[in-house]
Amino acid sequence: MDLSRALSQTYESFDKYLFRLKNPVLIVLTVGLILRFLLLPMTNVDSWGWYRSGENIISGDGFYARSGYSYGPAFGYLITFSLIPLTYLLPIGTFSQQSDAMIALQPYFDFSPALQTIEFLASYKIMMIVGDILCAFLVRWIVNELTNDRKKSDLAFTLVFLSPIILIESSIHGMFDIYCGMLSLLSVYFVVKRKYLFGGLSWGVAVLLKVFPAYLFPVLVALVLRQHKGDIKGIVTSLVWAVLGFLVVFFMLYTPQLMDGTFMDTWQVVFGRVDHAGNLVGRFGKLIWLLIPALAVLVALVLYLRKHPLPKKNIKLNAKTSVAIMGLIALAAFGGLVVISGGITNMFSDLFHVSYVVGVGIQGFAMLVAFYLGYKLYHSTLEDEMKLGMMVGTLAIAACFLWVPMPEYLIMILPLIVTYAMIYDRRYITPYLLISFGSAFFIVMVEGPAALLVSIAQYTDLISMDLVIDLTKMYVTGGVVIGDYSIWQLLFCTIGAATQLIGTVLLFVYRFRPYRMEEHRI
Amino acid sequence: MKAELPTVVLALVLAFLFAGVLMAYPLNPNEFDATASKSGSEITVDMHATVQSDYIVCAVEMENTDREVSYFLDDRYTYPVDVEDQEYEMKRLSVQLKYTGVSHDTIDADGLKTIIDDTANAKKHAVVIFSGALPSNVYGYSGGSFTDLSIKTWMEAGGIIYWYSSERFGYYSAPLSTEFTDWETDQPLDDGSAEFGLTYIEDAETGYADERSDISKLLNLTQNVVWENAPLSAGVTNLGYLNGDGRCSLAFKEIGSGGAMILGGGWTPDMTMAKIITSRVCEWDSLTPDHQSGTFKGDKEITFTGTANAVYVYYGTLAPRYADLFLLG
Repeated sequence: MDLSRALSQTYESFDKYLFRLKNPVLIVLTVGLILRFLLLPMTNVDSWGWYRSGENIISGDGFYARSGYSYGPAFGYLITFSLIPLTYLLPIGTFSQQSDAMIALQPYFDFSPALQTIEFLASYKIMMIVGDILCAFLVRWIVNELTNDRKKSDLAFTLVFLSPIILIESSIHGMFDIYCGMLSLLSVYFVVKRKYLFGGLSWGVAVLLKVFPAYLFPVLVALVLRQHKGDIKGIVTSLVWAVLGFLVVFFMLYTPQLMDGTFMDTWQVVFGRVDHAGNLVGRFGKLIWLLIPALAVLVALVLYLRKHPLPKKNIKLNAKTSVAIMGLIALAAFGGLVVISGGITNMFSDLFHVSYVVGVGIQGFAMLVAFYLGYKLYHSTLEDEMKLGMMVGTLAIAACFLWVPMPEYLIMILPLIVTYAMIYDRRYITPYLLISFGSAFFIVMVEGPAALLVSIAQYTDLISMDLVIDLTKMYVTGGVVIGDYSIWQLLFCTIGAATQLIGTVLLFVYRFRPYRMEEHRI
Repeated sequence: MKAELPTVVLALVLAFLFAGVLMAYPLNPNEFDATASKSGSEITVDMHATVQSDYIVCAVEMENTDREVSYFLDDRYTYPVDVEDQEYEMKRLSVQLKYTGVSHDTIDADGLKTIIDDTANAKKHAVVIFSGALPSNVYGYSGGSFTDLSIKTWMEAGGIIYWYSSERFGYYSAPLSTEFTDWETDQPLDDGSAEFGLTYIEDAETGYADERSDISKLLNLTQNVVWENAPLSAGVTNLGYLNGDGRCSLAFKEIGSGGAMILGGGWTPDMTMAKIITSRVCEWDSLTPDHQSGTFKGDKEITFTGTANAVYVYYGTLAPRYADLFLLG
């Protein structure tokens, strides 16, 4: 059976089930909230950092008075909004305690004996859940506004609110990417609606939360230019409003750090990762000269092919040959990484570091793609600016995730994808689901499902600490250990990462022949 | 005019953030404070915290003198630890000590010599060593024997070294102008550790110690990493965790009326060294002091009766919300 038809039928049957319900939004909201509250006591290794952030927040000495908080201040303000009132009004005081039982896990992965209390985890993550709710209703409203189809909008709500990665990131991991995703969608929406001040405000918050919405910049500027073709006054006025919005947000968020002298500390997370990647690149510095002959060969090849073009020939590959070619390419890439890293063990030990390098390296490529997409948008004959903005905006951000980004980053494009899918092209539900499930599986399997239960085991009688530690240890040390990871970690994380990557690639595949629908051609 | 949902959502997000700005900075309602006084044999501690906080208050006996903390840094000498790394660690500790109200200055080799030579005031100084080796103007070695052990004399007179780095007394630092091949050839001190009564296991691996000392529990000292040459427990006081092979994660070697506090593993973000420096636990007469602990919010008064002449007040669990040592005369 044709795969796309099978998927389409699956989605339709899902629709039927959903709309047998009397009030699907209320039911989905209730189910989603129950799931979130059940997941709130779970934790992961990053919670140790959240604990230190929490202590800095309540200290009154600022986020950066001592080490522990490394993100920009916007994230801290979101947490502050729930943490300070809750700690002030309720007897929530102990955020973390030392668990000597956890020392057994300390040699593995990033496990720490410091375990966060359940009341702290809950107080900390409340605002992430608020973000999920706002985003789900926003997507529902926009879909309804543009289609006037309540079923589509309710389905969009369901897809957002029950997305596994959105659920996990807010309720277990405690990460704020849903705000970036929601604000990216809002910035496209407002610019298309010619509300440039609001567009600047939305984009400003998004990009100051995490840097990736920066790739929307060329797209948003191209939209403004397109809306005022030849009207210099209109262009300048619109951009001034947008810049004003950005500046308002910037000074609102950064004034405390500009005043207390910790402004440079607010960029730790960005500079830290670039620096980290730079250090690793430095290790391979002696190989960089190889790029010169490689570039020369490439230029010579291009020049030769321009003079002696290959004869036109229709190449038809069957499925088996295509899979074999892709397999060989993957094998060559894997082999290259092994050689560069100096052995398979080193490669897996450096897995996260390599990921940083490629992740940082791909940003240049992504920015070029974003500008190219902005150029295409400007010249596009499509009249529907909302369709153009969402489609191009999604691709612009997605271009920087064409590797194996941290799973939570992908949340940034999910609201755009689902809105686009429900309004314009339902096939985009497939990449949405692949990303949602793949990245969720990936993040859970990094340290293993049992490790999520350590705080519950430490602070309640629901499960034994010994059992949790044994299961976690079995997962992170079981079978063959390659580099710093067990074969199970590598296997399951690869499955999750591959699924999310296929989903991301699919976003682009639908833009090319023969998968592109002509009415969606940019 | 009815606002559209996107506008409402944006307004809500901005409102959350603006409220967060106000609550985190100018209108942050949180205060953590304490005062202590002594009348006769009774010590009274008044505590204040706007957030429910775990507390531990120790009434201790110790030398009743203020002690200045100095960091040693001099880029004119060779060190096992890069100067940039030293500066990085110094910055981190400075931030933590500022938080617990301990001030410090930075001294070079000449400044260190001035302090070391002043044995009469040794009890008024503590020096933090990040470099992994002491400069040759206070710690010299030549031809198989020591030519300068004034650092040891200073500790015997009451001086305290906080050894924050690796290679405890294993090398001395010659000026950069001296011809230098490598540490093993030029500036080794094979018996350096032994001279100070420290022992370690050759070629041990980095580990995670799991047998916790009582003082570590009391003061929330959670550093439990032991590097390869972490001091063995024989002859030292373990303030942290003990590994199965006898290595200590935090070891205090008493030398005369002073000594050396040695970090057995790497820096940890739980502020362990800052807590040790703030509490001055190495100077306490007993590691089982009279103490009271619990949880409180608002104001609380506690009293001790006895011969103690100082109180250490600490709120928080792993990271301090408040920490101070009160010398009560």
